[in-house]
Amino acid sequence: MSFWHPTEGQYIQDHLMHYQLNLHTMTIGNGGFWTLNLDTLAVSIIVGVVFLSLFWLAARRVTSGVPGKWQNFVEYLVEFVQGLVNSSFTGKTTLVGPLALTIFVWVFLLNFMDLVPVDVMPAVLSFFGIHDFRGVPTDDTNLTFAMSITVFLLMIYYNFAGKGTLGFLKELTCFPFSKWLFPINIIFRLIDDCVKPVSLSLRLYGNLFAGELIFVLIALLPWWFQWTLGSVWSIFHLLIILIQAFIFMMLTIIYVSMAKTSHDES
Amino acid sequence: MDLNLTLLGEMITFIILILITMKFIWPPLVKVMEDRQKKIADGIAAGEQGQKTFEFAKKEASQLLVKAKQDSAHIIDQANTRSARIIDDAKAESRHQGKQMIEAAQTEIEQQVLNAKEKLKQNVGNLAILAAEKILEKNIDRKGHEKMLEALISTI
Repeated sequence: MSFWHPTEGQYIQDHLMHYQLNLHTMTIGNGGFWTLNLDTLAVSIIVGVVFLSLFWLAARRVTSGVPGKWQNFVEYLVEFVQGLVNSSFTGKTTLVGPLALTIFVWVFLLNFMDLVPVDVMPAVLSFFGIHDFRGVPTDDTNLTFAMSITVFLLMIYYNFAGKGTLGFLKELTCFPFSKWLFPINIIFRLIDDCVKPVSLSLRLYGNLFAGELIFVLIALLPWWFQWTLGSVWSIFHLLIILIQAFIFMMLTIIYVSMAKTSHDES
Repeated sequence: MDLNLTLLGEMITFIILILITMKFIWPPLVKVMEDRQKKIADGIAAGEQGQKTFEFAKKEASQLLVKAKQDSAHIIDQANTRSARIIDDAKAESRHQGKQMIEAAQTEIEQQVLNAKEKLKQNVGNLAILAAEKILEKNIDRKGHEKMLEALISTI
């Protein structure tokens, strides 16, 4: 337990507080909707830049001859993602592949922040006068919803692009029941589509929030006992963050391809 | 869980990340991978082509070898027959020549025998005349007794 937290409850609460900027007063603090979570934004942008520059490094010096180690790894990832996209997405696309790769790598790296010991980032930043810094952006519903809403917008786009406006409207009103029950059909479709982004984002958020919380609880144990549960949970969590990144990517591919293909074809 | 403006910021960040990946990272990597795929496919095709050519050449070489063996056997056969014929010819020629020589020798011998007989006859004639002269003690006109002499000689 860190010395600047008087009680255990306070310690946990401090770890669940965001470093926020109130846009009304331009001061640190919560300002309702007009608030920026600076910790989420900063870590996600830094991680995004790291992801882009690492992959750009591979893409810049890419060669069709014998690939280097890094290029090999990146190519393996690209091929893996491309295989998943090709197996579920019908037709050619220049967007879904990069989208899936971005989601997979970015989400994995953001989740990976969870494996940084819970007190390292707050402790370091407290020297600069920054308190209540949450280092895992995927712990923040703002990020997970931002991603799932973007995916949702893409789903709407593909609904129109893949079937045409008439086809989309027909599907909206005449499926799964006959056209005479179109109000029920529309409601069904609305629920069906709106559940997708919500479940997508809450699944990731829930997993990472739980993981972070358990790390915080482990940090409350006596220092000579922390390594036992800490190492076990870290190994288990390594699996979880990879699986969550994969699930988010895979479901995105599936949702987008479902939106594109009409039910008549399948 | 409190949603705020961070949502919009993260959406913008996410979209920018996707766009950059789409523009600068995905295409070169995919292109290079396709290029390499093509390269490897070409290499395998070239290897197969080479293998085919090699097998064809091998077959051709063995065919050539068989043909060469056949040819050489044929040539040896021919040479054998020819040499046999030459030997036969030479034998026949030599036999023929030997026969001729023998024949010539025989005719010569016969000629000489005839000659000797002729001489002998003449000598006998002469001897007979001499003997008759001695007996008769006078010269016998050869011309006058020609007929008788010849008859006498022919009886010998």
